[in-house]
Amino acid sequence: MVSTSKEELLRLEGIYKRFGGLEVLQDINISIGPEEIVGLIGPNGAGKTTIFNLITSFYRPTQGSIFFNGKNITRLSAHKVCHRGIARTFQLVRTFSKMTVMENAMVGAVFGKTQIGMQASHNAAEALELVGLANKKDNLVAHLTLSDRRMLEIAMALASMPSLILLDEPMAGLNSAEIGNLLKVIEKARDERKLSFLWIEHKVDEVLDFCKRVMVLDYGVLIADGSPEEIANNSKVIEAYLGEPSA
Amino acid sequence: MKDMKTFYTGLVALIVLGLIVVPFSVNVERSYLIYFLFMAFIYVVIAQGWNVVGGYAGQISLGQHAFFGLGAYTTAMFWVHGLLGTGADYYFNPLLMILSGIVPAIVAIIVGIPLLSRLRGDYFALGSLGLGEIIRVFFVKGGDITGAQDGLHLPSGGYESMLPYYFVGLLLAVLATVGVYFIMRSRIGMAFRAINEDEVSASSHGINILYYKILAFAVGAFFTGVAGSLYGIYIFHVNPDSVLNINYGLYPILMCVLGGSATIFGPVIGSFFMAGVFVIAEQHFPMIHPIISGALIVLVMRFMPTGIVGLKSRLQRD
Ligand SMILES: Nc1ncnc2c1ncn2[C@@H]1O[C@H](COP(=O)(O)OP(=O)(O)OP(=O)(O)O)[C@@H](O)[C@H]1O
Ligand SMILES: [Mg+2]
Repeated sequence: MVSTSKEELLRLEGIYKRFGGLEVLQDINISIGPEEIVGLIGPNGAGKTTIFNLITSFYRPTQGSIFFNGKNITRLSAHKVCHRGIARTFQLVRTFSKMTVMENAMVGAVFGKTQIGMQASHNAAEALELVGLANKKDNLVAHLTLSDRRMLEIAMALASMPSLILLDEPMAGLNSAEIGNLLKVIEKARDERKLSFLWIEHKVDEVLDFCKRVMVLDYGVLIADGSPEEIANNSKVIEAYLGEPSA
Repeated sequence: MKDMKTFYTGLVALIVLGLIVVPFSVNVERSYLIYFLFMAFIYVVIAQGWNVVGGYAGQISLGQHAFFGLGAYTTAMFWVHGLLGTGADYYFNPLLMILSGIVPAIVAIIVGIPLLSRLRGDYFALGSLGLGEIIRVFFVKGGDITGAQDGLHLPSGGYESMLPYYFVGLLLAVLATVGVYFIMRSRIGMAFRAINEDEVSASSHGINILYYKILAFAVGAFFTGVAGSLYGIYIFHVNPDSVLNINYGLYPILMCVLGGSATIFGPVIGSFFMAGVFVIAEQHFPMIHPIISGALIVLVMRFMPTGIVGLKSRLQRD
C-alpha cells in the first residue's frame, strides 16, 4: 500500500516498542538501500538489539511497520522473515555446538532459502570458504574459539543467500588480529555478494572508519544518521557518549 | 570413519541374522527367550518413537502410553466392529497396523498444535502426561464401542504360533531403527537437532519450529501406535489397564536415557537391557517392580547422563 522507491531494501516506519512501562524505542524511522553497510552505535541499553529483534520478528512492535523489498513484514513469523532474505547474528553467539561446522552452515543453506541437495551443500561450502573456515568443516563447533564461532555465524547467514545481514556486535571479545580478519570478511562478503549490512557495534572508532553511513541510538531515540564526519561532529552524539559517565 | 561404518553395518547385519535364526534353534511355543525378545522388539519400537520426539527434537513427551493405547484400541475397534469390511482378515493385517499408527499420529497433530506452540517445554511435558489420562477416560466412558472398563476381546481363534509375532516384532524394530536413521540424515533430522539445541537460533535460520515439533511428535506417535497394535494382537484383550498403562509412557524414556538418547542404537541397547531387567524383576520381586523402574531412571540420569552409548566416549576421554 505504501509506495517505496526501488532503491530501498529495508524501512522501519514510526516504530515504538514498550516492555510493560518501559519505553525502549520511540518513533524509529530507518531506511537502508541495497549494498549499503550501515553502522548502528549507541550506549548500553539504548535499544539496538531490540531493533534487530523487531526486524527479525522475535518481538512485535508496539506501534509502527517494517517493510522489506517494499512488502510489509511486520507480522511475519521469524522463519518467514529469514526466507524473505534477512539473516542475522547474535550478540551472544548462537551457533549449534553439538553439530559440526559444515552442519551449521548447512542449516543456514537448507532452511534459509529452501534449497535442496547439491545447491545447499554448494552454498554452505562457499560460505565457509568465504569466512575462512573451510579447513575446519568437520570440526565440532563446541571445540571452536569464539572468533571462529563468530565467523561461523556469519557463514551461516551467508549460506542462506540473504540480501541483508544484521550483525550484532560481531567484534565483541575478539583481539585486534581477529578484528582485522573480520573486517576483511565483511568487505569481501559485500563485494562478492552485493549485500547490505546493518551493523551494531560498540567499537565506535572501527565503525566510523569502516562504514560510509552511521546511525546513533540513545535511550530509544535515533539522534543521528549520516556520514562518519557528520556523526563525529554531531553535538548530540558527543553529549550522548561523553555525557554518559556523569549521568 | 568409513571402516567404522562398514564394521557397524556388518555387526548389525550379523545381529539381525542371529535374531532371525533364534526361533529355529529353540522351542518357540515354550521358550521364554522368544517372549523376552518379542517384548524387547516392542520396546525398541516405542523407544525409537520417543527417541525422535524426546531425544532428537528435545520435546519431552510423558504421554507416549496414550499413543500405545490408541494404536491397540484402533486395531481392536476395527477388528471387533468389522470396520474393514466383512470378508477382511484382521489377524496381522498390515493395513490395519499402519492405520493404528496413523490414528495416534493424527491425534498427536491435533493436541500438538496447542501444546507445542507454547514456548516452554514443561507445558508440553505436563500436557502430554494429561493426554494419557484424557484418552483413558475416553475409552473407559466409551460404552459398547470401546468396551468400557473391560475393554475389547479380540477373536483369538486364529492363533497358531508365536512365530509370526516374533518376526513381525523383529521387522518393526528394524524398520523403526532404520527409519530413525534416515530421518536423522535428512533435512527433517537437521531441523530436529537445531530446534533441540536452540529454538531462537533455529527460527532465525528459517526453521518453522512449530511445524517440525509437531512432525516429531506425530512420527513418535506413529511408531508407538504400530507397536501398540502388535501388542494388542498379542494379548487379545485390549483394555485401559493393559494398553493405557503409564509404564508405556515411562519405559521408552528410561530405555532411551539408559542406552543413550539421540543416538541410533542407544534406544535399542536400552530396550534389550530393560527387557532383561524386567524379566528378572518380575520373577524375583514382582511387587516392587515399578519402584525399581523409577529408581533406575533417577540413577541413570544422575550417573550416566549420556547413556550406555555415551559411556564409551566418556571412558575414552577420561
Ligand atoms: N524482553 C525484554 N523485556 C524487558 N525489557 C527488555 C527486553 N529486551 C530488552 N529490554 C530492555 O530494553 C532496553 C534495550 O535493550 P537492548 O538489548 O536493545 O539494548 P542494546 O542497545 O542492545 O544494549 P547493549 O549494547 O548492552 O547490547 C534495555 O533496558 C533492556 O533491559
Ligand atoms: Mg545489544
